Amino acid sequence: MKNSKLFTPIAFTLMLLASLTNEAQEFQPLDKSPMDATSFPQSWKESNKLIRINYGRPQLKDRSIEKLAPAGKVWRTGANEAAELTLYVDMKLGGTKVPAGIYTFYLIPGEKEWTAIINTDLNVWGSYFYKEENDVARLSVPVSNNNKSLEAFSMAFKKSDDGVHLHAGWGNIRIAIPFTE
Amino acid sequence: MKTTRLFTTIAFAFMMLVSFNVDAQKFRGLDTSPMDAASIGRGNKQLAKVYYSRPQLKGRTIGEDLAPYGKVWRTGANEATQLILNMDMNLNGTKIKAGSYSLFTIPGEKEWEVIVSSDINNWGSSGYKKENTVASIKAPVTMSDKSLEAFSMAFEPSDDGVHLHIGWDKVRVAVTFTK
Repeated sequence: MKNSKLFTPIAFTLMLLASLTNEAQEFQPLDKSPMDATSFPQSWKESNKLIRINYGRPQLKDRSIEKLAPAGKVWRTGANEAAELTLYVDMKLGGTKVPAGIYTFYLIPGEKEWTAIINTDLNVWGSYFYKEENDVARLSVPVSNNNKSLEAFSMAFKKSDDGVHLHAGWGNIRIAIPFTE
Repeated sequence: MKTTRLFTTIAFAFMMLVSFNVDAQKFRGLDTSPMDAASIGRGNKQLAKVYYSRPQLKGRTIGEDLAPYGKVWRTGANEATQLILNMDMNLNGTKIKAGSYSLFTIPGEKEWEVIVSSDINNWGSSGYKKENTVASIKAPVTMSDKSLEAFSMAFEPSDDGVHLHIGWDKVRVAVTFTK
């Protein structure tokens, strides 16, 4: 039969292909929105950290912030998994004390102010599983604008008078979230 | 005076430039060896996770210009790889308590030593202290047909725990953590 004759070489080719590319484990390629981390103190020589955040870094690619991080909706603060905030010491966000530990960190974008949220859920993809009842602290901060546009979503810590500010920037938008000791 | 006027104009131009580009905070660009994570189990059922950075071969050779044989390696780039265990696990007969660790390796031609260390938040292998080793194992190297340009890690479930796979170029190393 013609069909079975044809089938054999095809099956054989497929098997060969499979065996050539067969890997005991699938390794993932580099992510389009790569993960990054920033911590305070920022110096790599200082391993005794106060605070750290791990987050994915999406890029604008000619899209608007309004589209990428819509106003009024809980945002994962980056890409892929929700940003992960580690406090190595007890800190305060606004007036709320947050015990040392690992948390998810969300943002609700807005035109004039953005709201920062610390939540006890962990290892969650996006903001699809966000549960408000697991919030630990919330704080709204004003938006400022900068002339320089940042292509990749960016975060950095900077020392303040009474603690540390988490600066976030994307496009022309800048916000600063005060953590106090 | 002409010179003064010119100077003022230049100074003013510079000041304008500076004021336009100034950011209260220096934001860093994307990393050439981006950070990534590999984990097993979702949400609150997550068993283990690694945070690591992913250097790329770019025509260089493992064991020589990258991950030199016989030397403690950060297992990636930038900060040492961070291993997070969400439950107590065993490596090579040693119990490791749930927690956060650094994962160092000593690459070799035939086997790699994989070291779980209690030193954390260290850049490179600078924080490595032998006395802070919690558990270690020597794992044989296998060679794959496929070359991986970027340093890669992945978990795979096993009957009684997880395999942590490490791959770069054609080199593959796997270690098993048991429950």
